[in-house]
Amino acid sequence: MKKSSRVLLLVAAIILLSAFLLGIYLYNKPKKNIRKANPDYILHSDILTQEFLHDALLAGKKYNGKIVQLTGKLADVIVKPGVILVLDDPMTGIQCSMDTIFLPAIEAARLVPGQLITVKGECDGFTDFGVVLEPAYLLKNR
Amino acid sequence: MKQVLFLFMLSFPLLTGFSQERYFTKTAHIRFYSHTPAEDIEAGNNMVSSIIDTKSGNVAFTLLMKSFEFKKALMQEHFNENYAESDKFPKATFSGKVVNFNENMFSSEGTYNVQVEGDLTIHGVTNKIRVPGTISFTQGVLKAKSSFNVSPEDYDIKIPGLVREKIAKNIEVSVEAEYKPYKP
Repeated sequence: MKKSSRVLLLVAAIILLSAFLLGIYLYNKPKKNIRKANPDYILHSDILTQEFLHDALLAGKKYNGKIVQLTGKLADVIVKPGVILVLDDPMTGIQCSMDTIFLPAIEAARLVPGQLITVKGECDGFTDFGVVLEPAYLLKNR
Repeated sequence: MKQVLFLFMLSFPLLTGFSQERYFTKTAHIRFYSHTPAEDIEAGNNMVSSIIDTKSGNVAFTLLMKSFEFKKALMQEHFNENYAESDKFPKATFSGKVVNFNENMFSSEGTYNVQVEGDLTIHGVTNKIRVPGTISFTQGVLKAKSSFNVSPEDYDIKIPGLVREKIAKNIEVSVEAEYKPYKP
């Protein structure tokens, strides 16, 4: 085999191997680490809800897919299924689907409605029952 | 804050006639499962809002497509960007009625087989569906369950030829909801 053919084969093999490894990486790429993510917006939970109520389309363009850090009153803790913390109002407040790696159900059950908490999460959007953050991470509870 | 719920009522005309006997949840669970010889795909959404009127049998669900969680991040990305087009069509909704409804279902404890009929909107397309389910009422807790199939084609969800063999023609959908009394 000529030297040039061998080089060509080697290059082709490297390209194929790289494509294969890239495919494996993409297929298994980890989910967003919300704990390490920097917030795009830091605000009070009430303000976020008010912005969506005022103009859901405009607020959606601003916040959907962004990391928001919210401080608000814990209204409800739901530990089945998963862990969901609700801010401000049990029925119409902000729903935060917590990353259970960092907040397992046993720890979530210790949180007390009424306390002030700070969460960080990706804004999924606004249902008719309020804003949804998923996944979310508990930064502080006081 | 109650304005939000009011908006929800407005967006589901069937529900505007709700009496005081309303039960609601914002943590209903919907799971879908696609099985093919090539690949199994599963996702769940545990932040589904639903309201049911025990006097009329009216029922409604609303959810954000982006809140479906997949095991693989790549699958979730493809689902939102290529199939569900979640930025363009962020919500899926159902608004309907228990067909064989009777008030005893909610005044005496037990489990009842029901048929629910209504409008299911996914990807901006609305279709009439009729699905089986169960409603159980025990110790003041109202639970609902249903399982049915949805075809992506019926909702104008285009599956590229390259991955067609990996996505089932009929996707199995299961719904579980545990309601609390609505206290305005």
